[in-house]
Amino acid sequence: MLIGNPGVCKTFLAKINAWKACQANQRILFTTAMDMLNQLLASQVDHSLVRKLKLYTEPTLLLVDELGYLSLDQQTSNLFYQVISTRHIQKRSTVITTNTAFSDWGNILFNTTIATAIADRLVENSEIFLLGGDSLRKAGKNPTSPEEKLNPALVRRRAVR
Amino acid sequence: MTPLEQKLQQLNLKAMTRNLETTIAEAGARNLSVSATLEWLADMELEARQHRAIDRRFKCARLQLQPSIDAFHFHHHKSRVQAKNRILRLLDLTFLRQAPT
Repeated sequence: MLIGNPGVCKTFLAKINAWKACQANQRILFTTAMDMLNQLLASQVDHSLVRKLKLYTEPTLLLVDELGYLSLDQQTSNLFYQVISTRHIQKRSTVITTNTAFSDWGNILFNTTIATAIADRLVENSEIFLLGGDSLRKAGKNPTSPEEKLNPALVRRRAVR
Repeated sequence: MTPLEQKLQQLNLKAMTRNLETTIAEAGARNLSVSATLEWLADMELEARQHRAIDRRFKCARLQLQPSIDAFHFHHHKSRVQAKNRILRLLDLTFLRQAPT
């Protein structure tokens, strides 16, 4: 769990980890929370939910970015629970970046019951990082990531092998 | 393309095919045995396959970036300094090895 205000490099740190895992030949998936949930919602319409859920439950490491920027209704909260619960049962690792403290998850998820159920599964065997400080984006115009702006030479974009 | 190169290509041994001529020439210059030359070629093939596998993993991961921890500013805030060892420990991926693949 990477918790902190916007612009403190939660996503960047998550991506560092994910790239390391890629280099170790692990199956990884990076997604924003809303993109994942919109995809799952859409899959309910064409009855492909089971197949779509596998996309998010099967990777060795799933990175869910930007949880908490938008609040989730009952349907999307349930879908999020299904992803987290399945990954918890299968003992697969999940990285979540959020700007919302656990105590406020009842506000971003449909109710405190589902928020507690999800948080319980995430917290078990977890590492929680609270990243403090001001946004690193403040100094820049529109950087892809705060760290990339500060030190672009150290970020390799789509390296060609 | 020599018959051997054609057969290696048929076997989908792309790196061996690509490097066969130069490797055999260099092995001759270094006086390497046949088995050592074969092992050298096999290592090239394995390495190329590993690189391709990582490329595939990266594309499927939808990461867009290949960031390095060197670009992470630990001194931006004390919370990062305090968590530095834990953050670095994450990068050894022990948490992934503890889970089934």
